[in-house]
This record gives sequence, C-alpha cells and structure tokens, in this order.
Amino acid sequence: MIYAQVLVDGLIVGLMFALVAMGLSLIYGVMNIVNFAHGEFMMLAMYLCYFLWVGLGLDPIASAPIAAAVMFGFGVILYRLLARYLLGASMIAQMFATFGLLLFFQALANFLWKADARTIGDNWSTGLLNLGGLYFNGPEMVAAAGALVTALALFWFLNRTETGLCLQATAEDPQVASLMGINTDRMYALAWGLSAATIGVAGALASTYLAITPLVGANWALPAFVAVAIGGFGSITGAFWGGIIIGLVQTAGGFFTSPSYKLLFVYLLFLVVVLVRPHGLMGKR
Amino acid sequence: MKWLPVAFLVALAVYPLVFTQPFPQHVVIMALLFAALGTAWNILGGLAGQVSFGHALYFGVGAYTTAWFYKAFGLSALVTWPVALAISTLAAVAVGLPTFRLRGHYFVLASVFIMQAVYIVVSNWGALGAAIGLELPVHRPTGALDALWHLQFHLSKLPFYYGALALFVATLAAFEWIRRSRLGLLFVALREEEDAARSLGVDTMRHKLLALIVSAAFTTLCGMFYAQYVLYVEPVSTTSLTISVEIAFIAIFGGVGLLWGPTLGAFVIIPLTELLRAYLSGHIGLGLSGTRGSGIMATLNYLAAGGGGQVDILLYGLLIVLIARFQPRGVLGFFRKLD
Repeated sequence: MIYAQVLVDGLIVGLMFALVAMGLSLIYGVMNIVNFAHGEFMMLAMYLCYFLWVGLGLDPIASAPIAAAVMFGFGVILYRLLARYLLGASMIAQMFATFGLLLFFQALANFLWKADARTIGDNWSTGLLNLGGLYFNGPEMVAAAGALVTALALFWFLNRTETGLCLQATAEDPQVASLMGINTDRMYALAWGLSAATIGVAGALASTYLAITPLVGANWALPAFVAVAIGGFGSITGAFWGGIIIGLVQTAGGFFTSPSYKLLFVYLLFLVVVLVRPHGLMGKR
Repeated sequence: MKWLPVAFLVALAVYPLVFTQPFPQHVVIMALLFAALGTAWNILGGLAGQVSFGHALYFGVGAYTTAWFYKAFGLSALVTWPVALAISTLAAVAVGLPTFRLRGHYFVLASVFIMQAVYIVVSNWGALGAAIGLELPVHRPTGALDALWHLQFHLSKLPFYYGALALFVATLAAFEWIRRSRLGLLFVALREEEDAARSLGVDTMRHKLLALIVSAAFTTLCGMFYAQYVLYVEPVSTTSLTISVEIAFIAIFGGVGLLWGPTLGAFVIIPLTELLRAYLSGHIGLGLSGTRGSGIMATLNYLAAGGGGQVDILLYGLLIVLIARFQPRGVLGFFRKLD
C-alpha cells in the first residue's frame, strides 16, 4: 500500500513538473534558448497570487487565469526587450542572459519582499482525502488536476488551431515558415508569452500549498530541465511525460533514502538519459 | 600596449604598500583570487571551448580538503595539496569521461546538474559539516615558521596578498604557456572544428580531459587558498551553481579565450560587488550614510535600510543580462573591434 501511495504522490507532483517542463520546452523548441529564469517566472506568479489573496481576497485557484494573463504579457515584454536580441547570439550569451535574469528576479524578490516565507493558508481545497487507504492532499490534488487541464489546453492549442500549427512550423524551420508567410517574430513572442502563461498557472496552483520565498522557483525549473531532456529537447509531448517521470523518480528517491536527497536522483537521471539516449525519448534528431 | 601588463603587475606588487588598510587589500585579494579562477576556467572554456557551469566543484575540492585535513589532523595545506590535486584530477576524469561526449546545451546542462548533485551531497555530508560547513581552528602562531606551517597570519594581510598574487601570476603563466604550445593549438582546433580535428586524428576526448584536469587543478589551488584565507568553508560559497556561474561570467565578461579577459572581468566585478556589499551593509560610509536628503545615495541608503538586501546581486544579475544582450563577445572583444 505504501508503494501505491508513493506512486500516487509521484504522479501528483509529476503533473505539476509536466506543466513546468512544457513551458520550458516551448521556448527551447521554438527558439533553441535554454531559459534558466523559468522557475523565477513561477515565483513571481506565486507572489502575484499571494498579493491578490491578501489584498483582494481572491482565491489563488480563481486567480490562475489572471496569473496566466499577466505572465503572458510579462513573457512577451521580456521577448521584446531581451530575448529577440539573443536569437543570433552565441549559446554562451543566451545562457548567461537567462541566468542573469534568474539572479535578477531572485534578488529583486528578496529586495522587495524579503526572504521570509509567506503562506496562503487554508482555502476550500484544504484537507486530506482518504480513498481506500490512499491519502490525497486536497491542494496538491487540485493543482495536479489544474496542471492536467492546462496541459491538455496547450496540446489542443498547438495541434488544433491555426496559430498553434504556425508556432510548430516556426519551431520546425523558421526560414521556411517565414517563406510561407508566417510572421516568425510574432511566433517567438507568442512562444515566450505562452511559456510564461503556463508557468504562471503552475505558480497559481502551487501557491496554495507551497511556502512562497524568493527561491521557491529554483527547485522546480532545474528538475524541469531534466524532464525536457528526458523527453527530448523541443518535444512538448516528451516534456509532459518527462515531467511525470521526474515526479515519480523524485518521490521514490526521497522515500527510499531521505527527502533531502530526492533531487539528487533527478539530476543523476539526466546524466543517464543523455548518455544512453542523447536526444531523449521523443527527440527528433 | 606591451608595457601595460608589466605596469599592471608592478602596480599590483606595490599596491598593498600604498594602501595599508585591511579593506582595500581584501578587495584586491578577492579580485586576484577570482582573476586566477577565471583564468583557470579560460583554459577549458576559452582555449578548448568547453563551457562549464560546474567549476565550483573543483573549488570546493580544494577548500574542503584543506579544511578537513587541518581540522581533523592539524595537517597544513603545505602538505595536503597533493591530496587535493589528486581528488581534483579524479573528479575531473569522472566528470569529463561521460560528459565530453555531449555537445552544446547538453554539455552545459550536464555540468549544471553535476554541480547541483554535488551540492546536495556536500550539504548533507555529516563529516564535511553538512549545510553548516567546516571551520578551520584559529591558531595563534608562535613565530614566523609556525605561522607559515599553519598558514595563519592574523596581524597582516600581506602574506595572503602576495600569496594570491603568486597564484594569479602562476595561473596566467600556465594559460599563456598552454596557449602558445602545440597543445594550445590542438585545444583551439577542438574549439573551432571538433569534427575536422577528429578526422585529422586528434584524440578529442584525451585533449578535452587534459584541458579539464589542468583547469581543475588551478581551480583547486584557488579553493585551498580561499579556505586558508577565510578559515571557514560551507557549501553555498564554495560548491554552488552561483559560484560556478560567477567564475564563468568573470571569464566571459572580459572576452572568452583572451589572456587578460578574466583579469579584466575580476577587477571590474569583484571590487564593484565587494564595495557595494560593504557600503550597503554600512561598513563603509562614502561620507553619505545616514543622510536622509535626496539623491541617489540617500535613496540607496533608504532602500538598503528598509529593503530585504541583495542589491549587489540585483545589479550583478542586471549586469550579466546587459553584457549578454549588448556585448556578447565580452568587453575586450569590444576593444578588439576598435583596433
């Protein structure tokens, strides 16, 4: 029974990792840029939901669409101000730019809101559900369900709408896409907006049960890179499954050793995967 | 321009005799340490073209080996350095063998994740003091020889200053010597056209490993110096991703692969962050602290008192973003274009 519980817990965390990883994969797939600041976007969204809850009494789950909209705009602005100039730059410059953003936003949050942990406390989803001996933590379950819905919506958008297909065409080959009349600059901006919006939703969903600190995003984005690598860089479907695997590995690793080691297994998994299958489970090349 | 490096080295040698206060000496000691770290990184990243975000691993090997042997057995770094270099070489081979088969983003990310894994292990390792770290016992030297054995000098920073200068010059010399040797040409061939180098019979794996081992060795020596200077070693300031990126950024700031690039980076960034940190924490006043008037300094004072701190990291992060955005080839790369 305890193993079934580990499995369930892993899946629940995994769905959240899946959502975080899909956002990362979106930018990587379209622009070939590794965004180290992805977790900090999540942290900012969490603070946004916290202040909406404190200031206006808005339920964090209800503010998820607001977080998505605000973060979409944030992503587009970052693209316009910074990311578009990184397109032709070297890989080193790209990585430093996004790592600089990571430091900047972490320090900004520290500066504005201090390092003290903030919590949203109880809301309607608080509670422990016992289903046939398996325990489900209310807020985490709601978050996992929300992550799944958002992931499905993203899949639908990418595969069933014209804009989504244009985005995929740009990811495939920007030059050909631009010859076909697709405005690739707008597609890049859209990718940044969508990526930030998905992580915004993830932040809103996580804000109900995680302590909000300036460093809260770091423990999500780096493992999500592993999920993206496992799935194959640039594959959104791969990132989704990679996220599930990360959730399972992290939970099982923490259960069998000690919770402080749980991420160790995730990082080691990256090395194993890239050495055995350098292009991931669903990578194209 | 040939006289400029010589003038710089002479100025460095004279500097502590002119500026005798501890703080100005400390700032340059840290700048020299990071210039050496950046130059060591540059052997692998600049010459051989392998961008590592994991060099704090070797820095940590040096720092922890020094601290642990001194604390447990009272052994001086003067005799434990071969052990540190042996561990560093083993670590370099263990990291290099699997990851040098990867390219581009995969290699960089692998270095990031190895760094994170090491960080988790070190910050949970009881013998190394876990997250709290190790303190090197303070020793009161009975004489000059005794002080030298313990490498503890409490009356003056001069021994550390000239130690850092020697470390810096040695690393710089090693970089230049490799760059001019046949080995350096092979490294550059790896960087520019790996496949072509391979097709001409260059053993790419062996040469990448060699570049990493040399680069790691100097990084380890810097770690040993750091432990002896600070007398306190803990994971965040030694084996973290942030330190790794700082080392790489200092090398890249000045211009990757250039002899004086990391030095320029270190002598701009380290004084900037050290001064800002000291100023914001109120250790130095600049004659403006305490004023509640208007102006940038007063605003900064106010924010430093009321805000949550970390303004130095805030500006540091912004600087990285701006350099990457406007001057991706580094500052010396910019000057080169003007020539």
